Amino acid sequence: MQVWALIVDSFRESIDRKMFWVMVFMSAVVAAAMACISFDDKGVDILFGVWKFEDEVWSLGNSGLKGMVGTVAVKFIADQYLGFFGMIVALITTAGVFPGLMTSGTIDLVLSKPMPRWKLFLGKYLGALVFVFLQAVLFVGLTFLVMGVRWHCWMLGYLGLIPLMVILFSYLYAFTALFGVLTRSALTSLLLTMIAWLFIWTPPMAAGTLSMMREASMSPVRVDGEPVEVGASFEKWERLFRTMSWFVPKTSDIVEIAGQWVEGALISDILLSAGEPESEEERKSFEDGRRMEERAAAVNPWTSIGSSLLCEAVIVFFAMYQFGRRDF
Amino acid sequence: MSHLTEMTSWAVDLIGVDKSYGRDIHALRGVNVQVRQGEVFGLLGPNGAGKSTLVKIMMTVVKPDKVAGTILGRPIGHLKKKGVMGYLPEVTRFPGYLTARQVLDYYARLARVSVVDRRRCIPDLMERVGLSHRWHDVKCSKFSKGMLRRLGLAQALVNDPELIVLDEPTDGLDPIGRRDVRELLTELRSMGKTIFLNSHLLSEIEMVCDRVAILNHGLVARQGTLTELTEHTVEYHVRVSGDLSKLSAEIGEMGGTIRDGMIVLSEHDVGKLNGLIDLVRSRNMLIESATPHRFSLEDVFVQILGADAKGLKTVDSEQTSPVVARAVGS
Repeated sequence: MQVWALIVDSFRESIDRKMFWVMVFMSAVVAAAMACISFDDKGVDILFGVWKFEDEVWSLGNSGLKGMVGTVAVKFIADQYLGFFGMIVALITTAGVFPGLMTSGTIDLVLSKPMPRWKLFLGKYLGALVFVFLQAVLFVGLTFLVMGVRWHCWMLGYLGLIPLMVILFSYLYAFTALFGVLTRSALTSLLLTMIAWLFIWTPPMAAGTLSMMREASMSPVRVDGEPVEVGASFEKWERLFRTMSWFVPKTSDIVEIAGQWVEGALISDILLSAGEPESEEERKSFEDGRRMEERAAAVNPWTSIGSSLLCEAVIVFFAMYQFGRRDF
Repeated sequence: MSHLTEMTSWAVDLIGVDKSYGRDIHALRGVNVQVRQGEVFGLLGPNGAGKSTLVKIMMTVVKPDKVAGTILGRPIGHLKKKGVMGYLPEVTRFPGYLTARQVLDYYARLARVSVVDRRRCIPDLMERVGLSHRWHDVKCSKFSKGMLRRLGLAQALVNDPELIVLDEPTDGLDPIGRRDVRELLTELRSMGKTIFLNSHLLSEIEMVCDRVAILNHGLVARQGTLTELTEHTVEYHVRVSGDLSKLSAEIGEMGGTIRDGMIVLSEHDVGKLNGLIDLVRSRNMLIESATPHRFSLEDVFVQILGADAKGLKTVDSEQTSPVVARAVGS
């Protein structure tokens, strides 16, 4: 009953915030913009018949269309809109939860109730996740319907973005909660979370980049006419960054997992289906893209999410410990 | 057997409460506080005496460095016992997006009050603290300071507590509101509730409290009933027609002083009083009145602070019961 009361309170607090309604409005705008586009057997229709472009590439009969829709879902919606912009807005909105809880007059009341401090902390933490869950349900739900009805692409895997976005937010919010408890300042905790995000994003990205560079250097490189072993030095650093990435929540993996769940999202497939590359150079770049995407597709969701949630649990536990031991 | 009865009659029985903030601030230095079940207990003290720290320790908002004893027969923080305690902090900040009804429902849920009890008691409680029906569904961001205080009071009572801890309950209330709160406290006492009242308002404490503790510099300076605190603090005021300045030296020799044109004997000594009257009469001056003046709680309070300022000791942590405190205090 107590945790439920805290979650209900978080929900009421959320809908009282202007930011909640700004996000609702933006979700509606994006969904409406997407609904202005539709596909038929001949091509693409924009603004409900105002413009029509007949092109086989954009027709329903083209096998690449589904891939293109998947790309929109993963690269634009999951990666950029929800995974970056949405996360920042959600963090801004919820950064004040713990500092607000710890203000004089609020904390006194809740701590006097027959509830252990860890339960209070978890209730508030879950409340913030509920806020993001609601936003994700609204946005993903709307865009799912638009893609189904207007684009004729019903991708059930796309609904997986809802839990994925909540999980991604929870990785970051663990830091916000910790810094909120330590500093009691919404702004400071937000800034520190951004720094932490950069910090946890770096090792897997560095490992991925080094891996690409290592593969590229497989072909013999000559400096002053002498062959140079570039790949070996890359491998050492790559191993280091990969090890490091085990100990941090893997935020960048979420988009890769979203790609796995949403069907036909490989860019190289779409590009190749659009027509044969005209030169060998173009084909090579497509193949490089495919290799990158295949490597991303090789991310094991359970291992990635499991280890990340473990890291998150450690951070949350530490924040809870700090919350439990301090005076107010 | 009588010892056992005595032991269990304490609603609050805290021994050696000690709390420091960092190395420099020693807020409580082994405070002992005992509150009987069913009584209204007042905690007094100047700013920085440690009153709020003590209250916050009782409500687990602050963690003590050292403490022994019990609240409602269990150690501090016992969850089941916290469920039968109500607390109104000095500052209350309610979520502005909730209505008065929702605020009480929220805190009642946190206090594990059942749905049936919540539905039954919340409207009654709001009426009882003076929040009329038209305010029940108004967002509390629109409430005045006084109304928020009333809502806070309702929040403290929402779980029908056995022990009610109130920190400055009348702060922000108008005179009518203060009277309402006093009446409510009296009503709660008649219902057998124990009330722990922390207030700056000495007159308020005097009007409602059965027993009082005066805290100073983190120590209990005095603890006892109002009568116990004031019974040995009588002075005599002798009003005389005529100029007393010529007698000042003789009055001083007899233990009196001249204050506001009258003789003041700051002792409970009838012999000295009669000596002073004889002195005045011997100079053919007329006595207008001679009245015993009992100290108010405020006088005792000021006296304690004054004594402390002069370096006199307050009752230290050796004190183990109100009886000892009284003995030292008197």
